[in-house]
Amino acid sequence: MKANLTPMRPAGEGAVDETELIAGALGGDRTAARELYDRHAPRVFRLIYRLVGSDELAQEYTQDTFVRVFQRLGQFRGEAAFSTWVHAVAVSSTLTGMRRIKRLRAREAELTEAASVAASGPDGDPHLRDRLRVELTRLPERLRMTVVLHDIEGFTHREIAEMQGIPQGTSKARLAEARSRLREALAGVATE
Amino acid sequence: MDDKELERRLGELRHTWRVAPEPPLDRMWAEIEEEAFAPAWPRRWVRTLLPLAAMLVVGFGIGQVAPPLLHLAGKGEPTRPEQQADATGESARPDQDAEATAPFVGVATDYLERVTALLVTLAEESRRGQPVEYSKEQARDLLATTRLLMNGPRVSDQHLRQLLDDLELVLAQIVRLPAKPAAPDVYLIDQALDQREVLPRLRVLLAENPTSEP
Repeated sequence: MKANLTPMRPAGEGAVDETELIAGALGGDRTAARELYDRHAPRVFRLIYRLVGSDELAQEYTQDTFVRVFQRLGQFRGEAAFSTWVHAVAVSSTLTGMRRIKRLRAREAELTEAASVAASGPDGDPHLRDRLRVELTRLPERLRMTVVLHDIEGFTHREIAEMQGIPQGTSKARLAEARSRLREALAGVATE
Repeated sequence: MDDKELERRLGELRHTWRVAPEPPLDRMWAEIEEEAFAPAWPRRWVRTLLPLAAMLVVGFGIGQVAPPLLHLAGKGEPTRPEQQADATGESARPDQDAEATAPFVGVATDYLERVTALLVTLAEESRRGQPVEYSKEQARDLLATTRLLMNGPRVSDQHLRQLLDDLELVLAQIVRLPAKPAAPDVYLIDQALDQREVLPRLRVLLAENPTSEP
C-alpha cells in the first residue's frame, strides 16, 4: 500500500539542512529548535491523534514528545532518520500516556467510537465501514498500533520496527494477525 | 473479504478515521519551550509537586470523613454510623460520629444532587429537542470531585465505585461537548445515561442518604 505522506526528510532546496538544525538546537539555538519542531510536529500530532482519538490528549502527548526530543537530542546518533527517531519518541510517549489513563480511555472509547460511527458520511458501504472502525478500536493495542502505523499512516515495517524497538518480522507478524482478526470479525458483515 | 479488499478498506480510513484537526503549533511550542529549555530546577519540580501536594491534602481530608457515606451506597438498607459502630462491637458514640461525618456527608450529598441536577436537565432538554444549556465549568468541577472520590482509598463499595465510574465517563463526555452541542452529541450522552441507568441509581443513592441539611 502506498501512503500519501508528507516527506520523511523534509530538508530540500533552500531549506536549512536538518543536521545543522540539530546541531543548532543542541547548542541552545531556539530558532533551530523551533524549525525542527515545525517540520515534524504536524505529522507527529496527526499520528498521535490517530492513536488516541482525542485532540486534548494528542496535544499533551505531542508536547511530551518534543520536550523529550529536545532533552535527549544529544542521544540522537543519526543511525536512523531523524524523523524516525522523533516518531519513536512519539510512540513511546503515547504508549506511556495511554497506559497511564487506560482505564478512562477504554470507557470513553465506547462513546467516542459511537460518536464517530454516528457521524459517518453517506458514501460507500456505511455498514461495513462503520464496523471496520469499531473492530479496529477493539484490536489489542499492539496490533492496532501496527495497523495504524502501517496501513493508515504508511510507515514501512523497517520504520515501525525502529520506532518500537522490535524486529521487522514482529511488525509483519502483528500486521498479519491484526488483518486476520479484522477479516474474521468482518466476515459476516461483508456477505450481508 | 480477502486481503486486498481489507487493505483497500483500511486505506480508505486514512481519510475518514480519527482525522486530526489543525494542531495549535504555537500554543504547544510555548509549553514545550518552557519545559524543555527552562532551568530544570525549581520550576519542573514545583509544578509537579504542588498539585500533588494539594491533591494529597484534599484527598486526606475526604478520606478522613468518607467511610460512613461511602459504605451506604448499593446496600439493601441504609446504614447509619451508630449502627456500624454497634456491628463492630465498638462503643457507640453517635453524636460524635455524626458531628465528625456531617461536613462530608453534606458535601457528598451536595455533589450527588448537583450531578443529578445537571444530568436531569441535560437529559430532559435533549429529549424535548430544546437547545441544551449547561455549565461546562460546573461539569468540570463535578468531574474533578468524582475523580477525587474514585481515588479515595476507602471507596470499597463495588456499587458506588461502578456508579462513580459511570459518572466519570458521562461527565467526561459532557466536558468535551462543544459550546453549542449538536443534537447527536447530546443524544449519545443521553443514551449512555439510559443504558447505564445512571439517574435511577443516583436517585436511589440520594434517597438512601438524605441530605444532612434540615
